[in-house]
Amino acid sequence: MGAWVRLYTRGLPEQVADERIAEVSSDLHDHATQAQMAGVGKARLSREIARRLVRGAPADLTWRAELRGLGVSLSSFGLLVGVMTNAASLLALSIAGIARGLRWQASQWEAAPGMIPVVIAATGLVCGMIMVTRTRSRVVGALWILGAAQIVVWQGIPFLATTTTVLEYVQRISAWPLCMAAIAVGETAFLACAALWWAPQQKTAA
Amino acid sequence: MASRPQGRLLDIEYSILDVVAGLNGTGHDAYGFAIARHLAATSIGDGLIGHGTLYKALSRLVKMSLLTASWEDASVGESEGRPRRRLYTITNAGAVALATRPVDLTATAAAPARTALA
Repeated sequence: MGAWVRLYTRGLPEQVADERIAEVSSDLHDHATQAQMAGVGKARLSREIARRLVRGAPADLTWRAELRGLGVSLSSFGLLVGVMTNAASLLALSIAGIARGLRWQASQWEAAPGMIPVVIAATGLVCGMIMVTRTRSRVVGALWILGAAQIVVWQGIPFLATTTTVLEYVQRISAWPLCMAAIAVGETAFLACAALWWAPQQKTAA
Repeated sequence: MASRPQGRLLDIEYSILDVVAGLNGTGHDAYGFAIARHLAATSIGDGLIGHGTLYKALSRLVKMSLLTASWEDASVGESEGRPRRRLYTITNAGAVALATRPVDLTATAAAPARTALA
């Protein structure tokens, strides 16, 4: 929680950031004290705090955007949230693929086919997400995520399927390649548009 | 991302005003976690409100001069072995906003908050 507060208050006026950090710290302390008095276990307390963090995260981000004077470019901010959400979803898919691959590897004593591209894609997604958070590298970050997204769509999704009986099922679907192509085109269009949208801002920031 | 009209309050903001008014009226300190705990006892939803939602709303209410905020004396927190709290007080404008809120909100959000504080 502390790391999250420091992250979204980063770069804000010092007094505003310090006050938010202090207020949330006080809240967390009171929450922990109240939980202790009520006999609530640490695991449940952690879950409650995590839930409050997740519930409030969109408000934290819009509050930050408003303070940084991004009110006029909230569409750009929304796009950033969209790109990050998209990348995070693909990353989750890649991680699930890697986990399945490792389980497969453990049982078969050989590398799971298609594992390497998925690992590359996951790495690419993480790099892209980091680049997208910075104005100067936002365009490259979006293109980086685009590349990784193509690997996930063409390698990751089939790779996920190879480890389950889903493969047999999806292979019988005649429209499966068309679905994959549609997802790939959608990803390309969305991320390319994001890169184009951000390009003038990056030029200004440079 | 569309923004709402300036000066228009959300349900949650009316509920926060109501809780702060209730805490102030009963001589209790109105600080972040106390407000969250009292809100949880209302019909707002299950569990405690998200930190971001609460503090963004509080900050907006202060900006609109419906609440005032001040840090309690550091020695109070130190003597109780905890960080200092930011205390909120409802202003006259806040009380007026609360009194003139739309009728449908009065029925759904505020009444349970008052009951919880009683």
